[in-house]
Amino acid sequence: MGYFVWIRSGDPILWGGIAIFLAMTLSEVFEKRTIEPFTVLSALFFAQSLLAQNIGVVIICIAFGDMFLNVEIFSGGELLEKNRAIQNICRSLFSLLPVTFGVLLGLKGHYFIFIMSVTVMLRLFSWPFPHWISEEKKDSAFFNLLVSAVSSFALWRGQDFSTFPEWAIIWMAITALLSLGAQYTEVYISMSLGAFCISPTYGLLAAAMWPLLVCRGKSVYLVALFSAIAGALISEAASKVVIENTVYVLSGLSALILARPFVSLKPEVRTWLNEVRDLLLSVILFGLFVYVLPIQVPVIGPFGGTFVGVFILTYIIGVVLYSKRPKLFEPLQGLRGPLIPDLTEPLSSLNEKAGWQINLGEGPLSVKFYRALESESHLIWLLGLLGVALYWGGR
Amino acid sequence: MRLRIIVASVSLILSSAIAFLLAPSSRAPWVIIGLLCFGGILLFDIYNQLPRRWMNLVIFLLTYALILCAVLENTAEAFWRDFAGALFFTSLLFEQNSKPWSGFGPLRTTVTPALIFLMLILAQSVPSLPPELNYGFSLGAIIIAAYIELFCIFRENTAFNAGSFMSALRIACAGLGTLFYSSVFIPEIARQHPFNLMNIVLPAIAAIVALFSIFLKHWRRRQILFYCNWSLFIFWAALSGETFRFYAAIGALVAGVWTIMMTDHESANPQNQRELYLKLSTWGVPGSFLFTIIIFALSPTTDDLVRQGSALWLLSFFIYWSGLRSFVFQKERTTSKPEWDWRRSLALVVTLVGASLLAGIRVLPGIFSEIWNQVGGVR
Repeated sequence: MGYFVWIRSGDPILWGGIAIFLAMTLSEVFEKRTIEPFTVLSALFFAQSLLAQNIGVVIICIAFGDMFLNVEIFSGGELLEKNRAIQNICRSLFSLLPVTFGVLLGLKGHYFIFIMSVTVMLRLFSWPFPHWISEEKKDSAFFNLLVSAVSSFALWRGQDFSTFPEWAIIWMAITALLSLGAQYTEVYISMSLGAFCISPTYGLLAAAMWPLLVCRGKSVYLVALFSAIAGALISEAASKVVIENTVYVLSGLSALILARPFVSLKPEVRTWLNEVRDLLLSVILFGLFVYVLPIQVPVIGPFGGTFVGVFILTYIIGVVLYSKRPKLFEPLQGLRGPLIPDLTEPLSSLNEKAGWQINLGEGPLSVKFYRALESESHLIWLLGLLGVALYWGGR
Repeated sequence: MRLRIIVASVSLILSSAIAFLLAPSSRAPWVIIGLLCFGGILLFDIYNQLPRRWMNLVIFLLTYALILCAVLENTAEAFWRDFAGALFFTSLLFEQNSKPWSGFGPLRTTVTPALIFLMLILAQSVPSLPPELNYGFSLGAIIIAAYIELFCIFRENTAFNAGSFMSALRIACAGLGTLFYSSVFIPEIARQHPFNLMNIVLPAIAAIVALFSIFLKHWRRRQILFYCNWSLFIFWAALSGETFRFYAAIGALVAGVWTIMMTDHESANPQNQRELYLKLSTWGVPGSFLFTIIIFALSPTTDDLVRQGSALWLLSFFIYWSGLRSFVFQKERTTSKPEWDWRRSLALVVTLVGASLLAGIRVLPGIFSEIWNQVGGVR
């Protein structure tokens, strides 16, 4: 992997993605002090998806990464978790279905971005369909980030958004809508992807904070701040492609909704050493990107100001309101489809009823004929019949 | 039992050797593919279903002989005749080895589709038929060959046919026959309008069958339909006219036949992960031999119809995978399982190697070529 990072040193989006991924993995390893073999295998496939140039290979790598993650969940869990690990295979394949359709149908431009967005939505957000990893107990945060953040970034980074700048504001609106039932981590990852639509550099800078999402200590408040900044940048960029008044309305509404998940965030209690370690990883990444990438210092104008203002105001009001009306700030429940009934009957006692009765001339003759078919002793007659038929056909 | 296995193996190898020696060089690969499929059935027969009766072995070898004759024939008529014979034997094997069933409905026996197949073949010999109608009969015959097991899906105990050697034999016959037909005897009109629409119609049929399978209660019945669709998938991949897809179709044939024979018949055991992996592999989930083949066969193309067909295939495969959504392990085991033997170990190795083919052919070459370019650039 190091070799590939080295040979692609001229392409910061490729090695930048890998650097962020490594920082997240390091944070996990430092925290847990152990890492399971199938998680390593899964992480390798996700890393390869970040390096792959072909979208088809990216999808295959993600599918394998998901698979090994499910094997890890399967191998360490109770029976209930084992069931879920098998069920997850279906869910992960379902999430990859839209983008695979796009690749197979050869979609281009807006159509492909739209269909890829659907895949990213399914992998990233736990609403309206519950995310499969969020239900797991074991190592859920890191597993969730592998599935949602890393795979979404791997799919997203291959697109050239410079010709489709409107997707930044569209994506922010989608994020706002889906944030009604999402966690703040999902919102931040999604906002980073929105920043990527304006410029890959901004996307990488926003993603430099992802290591803070692994262990979720007090430094996650920084994540809220960066969400506001990303929203402001997207709003500013949107003013060039959308009518001004519309941008004001979209920015204000989005900020109002996007601040909501951050109100209810509860940072985990950790030692200051661990907090500093994660912060250090993020700061190093951020510094590295600032040093290496050509950055245009963004100017936050009235559109961005609107977003930041509404975001901060909503957050402050929300914090005050939260103690009295916490339900206002809790994520909505995801939709759950009806389950197919469990097939628990043992195979030896299926005790099935007879199939559809077809009464097409059933009589003693047909009974004899079908009994003859089932009888080994009558096989010779059937072979003879076949021989005659073949002989006649051959003529 | 051992004597029967030895006799079957020797007969299989001898008949293959004779066919190989008699075959012109262009037909020799077909003999090898046939040996791979039929040999695989014998090799991976983990429940020893085939040598349980002498009659099974005799019909199995006769079917193989007919398929070998079919791929050595010089005329389409003779090929279809041998192919029909092989399918008829296969349908008889279904009847020989099925559990008793009631109703006696002619639509619930596998012999009926075999006879319809024969009639469609015989209809082609009617003089002065337009080529379109002739090819239409061939297409009908191929679709019937793929869905023979659909006819008996509603009778009792059909679920036990899932993963049986009869199913594998049906895929081997139908797959080899259709592949050979698409390679050697297919008429030019097959690639022209309206027959080029088959690139969409065939996967659409598969999608409808997949949707129908949702209503079947037991997973083993769904699996029977999955492998019926797999037969059609082989034909579709060969029909597209692209060389790499044709090779993928050959891979799909061999992988399909072998995987059916590797299927564990018992309910899944959460403690035995190897067994569970083999069981999941039969559905073509990521990390299986079948998944590798699906990726190869659905490779992106410039042909719009094939593209749309690929998307439909993906949909029909997903419908089957969606069955895993409600997967639950049984808490109490009532059936006794056979010991893990060398055949299962071999099956595990083959599935793993098949799965890693995807990385070996699809992912790694790009990486290696990049390293190669870098090294060349340094020099």
